[in-house]
Amino acid sequence: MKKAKIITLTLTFSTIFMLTIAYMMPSTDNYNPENPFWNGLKNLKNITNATQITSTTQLKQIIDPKHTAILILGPEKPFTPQETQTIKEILEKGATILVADDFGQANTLLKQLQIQCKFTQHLLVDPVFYYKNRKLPKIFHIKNTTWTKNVEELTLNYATTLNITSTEIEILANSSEYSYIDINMNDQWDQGEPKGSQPILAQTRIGKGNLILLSDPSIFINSMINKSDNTQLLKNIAKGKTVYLDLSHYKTTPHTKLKTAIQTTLNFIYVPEAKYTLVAATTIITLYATRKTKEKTEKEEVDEIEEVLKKHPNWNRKILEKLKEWRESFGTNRTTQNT
Amino acid sequence: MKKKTTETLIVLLILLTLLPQIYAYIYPPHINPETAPEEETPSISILLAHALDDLTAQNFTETLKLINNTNHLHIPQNYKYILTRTTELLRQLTDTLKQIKETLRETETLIEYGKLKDAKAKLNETELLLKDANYTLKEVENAVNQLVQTLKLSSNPFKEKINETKNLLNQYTQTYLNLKQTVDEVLSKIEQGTLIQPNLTISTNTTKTPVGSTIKIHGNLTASNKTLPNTTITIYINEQPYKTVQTNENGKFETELKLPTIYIPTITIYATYKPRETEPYIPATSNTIKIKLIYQTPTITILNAPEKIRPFKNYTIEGEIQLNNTPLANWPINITINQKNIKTKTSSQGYFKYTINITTEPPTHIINIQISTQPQKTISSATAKITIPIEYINPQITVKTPKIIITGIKFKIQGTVKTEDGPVKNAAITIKIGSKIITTNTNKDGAFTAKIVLPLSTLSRKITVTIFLAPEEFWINTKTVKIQVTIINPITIIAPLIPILIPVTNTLKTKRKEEAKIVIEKEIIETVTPTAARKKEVKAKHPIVALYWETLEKIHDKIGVYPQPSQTLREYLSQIKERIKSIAEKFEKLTILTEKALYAEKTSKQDEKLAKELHENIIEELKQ
Repeated sequence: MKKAKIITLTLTFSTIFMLTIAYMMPSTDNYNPENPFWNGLKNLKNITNATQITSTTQLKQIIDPKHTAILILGPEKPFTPQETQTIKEILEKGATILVADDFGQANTLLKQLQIQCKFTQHLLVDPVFYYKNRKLPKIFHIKNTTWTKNVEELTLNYATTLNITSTEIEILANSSEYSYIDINMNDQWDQGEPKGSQPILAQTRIGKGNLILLSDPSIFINSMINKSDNTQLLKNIAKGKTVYLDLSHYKTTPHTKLKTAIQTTLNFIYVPEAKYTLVAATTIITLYATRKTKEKTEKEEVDEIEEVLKKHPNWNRKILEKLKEWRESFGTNRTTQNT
Repeated sequence: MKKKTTETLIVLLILLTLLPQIYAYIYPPHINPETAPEEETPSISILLAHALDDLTAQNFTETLKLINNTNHLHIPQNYKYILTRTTELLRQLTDTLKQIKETLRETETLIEYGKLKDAKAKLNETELLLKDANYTLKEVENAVNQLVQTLKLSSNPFKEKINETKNLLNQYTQTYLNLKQTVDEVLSKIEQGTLIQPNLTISTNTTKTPVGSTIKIHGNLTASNKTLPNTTITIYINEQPYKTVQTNENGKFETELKLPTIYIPTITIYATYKPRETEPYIPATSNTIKIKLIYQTPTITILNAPEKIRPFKNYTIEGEIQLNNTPLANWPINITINQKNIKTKTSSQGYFKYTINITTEPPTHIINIQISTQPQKTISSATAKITIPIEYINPQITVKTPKIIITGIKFKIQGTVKTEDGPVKNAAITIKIGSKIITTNTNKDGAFTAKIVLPLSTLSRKITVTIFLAPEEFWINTKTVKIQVTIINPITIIAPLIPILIPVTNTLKTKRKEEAKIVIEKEIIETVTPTAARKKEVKAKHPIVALYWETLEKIHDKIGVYPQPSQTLREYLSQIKERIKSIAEKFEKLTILTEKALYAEKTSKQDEKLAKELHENIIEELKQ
């Protein structure tokens, strides 16, 4: 029995300890706003004070779309027709939505929105204008618009390009004349690979809102956001708006899922109903347990007297209880004297 | 075979599921820029090569563009100086070569028009520029070589391009020399008399004339005091060929020139002569005559215009048009308001007035107004512009909401919206409490009321109620009001009580049980005393004890002996055993059962049954 108790306690404490460590450790997922490492979006979150959206239905809660900016960065899951409809509705009401993607699933959204543009999902390479190597191309052919005010240069990181087939979509930035699309990923330009200036940033109006397309979400990760004028682009999009960051289209690691579950539990516990009930229950359980132990001791004492009375039913109970008390106090004093 | 097919299928399935991962590996979303590998060869070589290509192709604008773009290159710190020096020298060289090309072109034109003196001056300028370019090119070559060495680039392509640039410079030099030679030859021939430099002069009847009027122009073409009859003379106005005339037999010409209706202060007129190939003359250009054009420009004065415009309200723009302080009466004017054109006229006093009423929101939130007149004869056009911003007004919204909201109970949020112009009607009101969104509209008095019930599933907490106002009128700004309220869920009060109530209830139950036990014990103790025993009604709580006492009563009736206060049940039994011989055993059993009932924790149903049997048997026997 004692062994079982020890094992149970050890397991409980180990589990709590493990959960604490899992909760304290920051996430390392790509595009996670709590991730402070090179591939996270912690800096973006701090700059924009973005609210995280874990389901597209939360967009229906937005009451002032004109002063709202929604960031959809590198979605890994496709968009359902219902999600697209929600996005379309809020766009038409005046929201600004930035869809930044390279090799993800944003094309499913663009297709359903019937936008005459798609992400080519082939790597953009610039052998002349780059940061450190040609897969981190620099962009400086930037049109002067509201979104690109004071943005003179952008640095991309494993970017793709936009394939635009409509004149209604305004191109805001292009790669340099030396860039090309490396379809076979051999770091060289080969015959048949598109060469020359490629669009990487564009925008179009949908209803009263603006849809901005950027062919590289990585410019906003912690290690890239301070390169060139990447931050300025973000600030221009977020200026005067409440920013929402879509997290509902990422595939999360088990660690992140566990953290989220712990956070949800903690959030629930912090609610007054749960909080006070828990405190009260803990107090009562503790008191109850203490009382049970006391009763058990008393019962043991009562049992002793009962045993005697069974043998000698004519003896007086009260006298027996008195004798027991004296015996105990005499026994305690003796112990005290001996020490 | 079947096994192999299954295995193959499994492998394929695994590959299919892993495909997204494999795709992600081939196409990683990004890499850490701080640990990204550097390119082996800096990209400056490519840019430099392209710049030199453009230079040798005489695309100087493109070359300068490329040079300006070098600040976007990724250059390690220790190479920055060399690169900057090379690009600056290249920029200098490009500028100089551009100037050389320009001056050579100008020289050619001057020679074409026989302006040999000016051509000579240009050639001197070109000579200096060529010297400068040669020096700069040497510097560029040295800088490029240094760059190639430092960055360990392949020198061959650059050597080739530098040589091409040298060839270009040589080409310019040759052109210069050719032009110089041409000029020298012509001058020499003129000196020798083999070529004659004609003299072309022109004059006009006036140097001041109204716009669009006709002037007379006279000219004379001579060469070595000889007249040149029947030669074609081209008259230029503002450097554009305007008219051709023929000299008469005296080498003179006279013509009328209708001047173009252009409203500029002066125009220039000159004439040129180009000899035929067989003629021993060189081209000639006449003197330039400046003609002052006479015209008047009206002044548009805006006398009255609003500072701001509020839509759906009438505003008046008033002004006047004067010409030399004289009102321009009945003068046609165009009023353009944000690309909408209105034609009107000034009054007989030269005033104009227009009422503006904006009903749609302009994209730039301002109204651009342009008032312009069309030119007529010697009166040129005039334009006046003003920009008037749209007045956006902030509404005032007052909201009444309870500070504490109980879930499950209906409550009201009321408010009013107004501006300085009065209540705001039909404005959309959106109220957000947590995840609940309620929409309503203001009525004709600008008031709104929303009746809300929060579901019982809403948890207790402090929350911000957001009230968003979106008026119909675009010039009334939207407004958001946030109010803190406290939501109380009754469960908050009840839930914590549950863990308290359960043990309390249990405790009370146990207490009652114990109290009952004590009562029984008390009553039992009481029933032991003779006093209680003498009472007719003795209520023993325990059935066995009750049976015992009933039996005891009957025995007492028989033998007249009751137990003493100090006696236990056993002592009493011992006392009466002899006198109740026939029932002694049964009464002993009943006594034992009674003791058990009194002092043990509990008795069983069997004991009670046995006690009842014994009681009945004893009573039966006592009756006998």
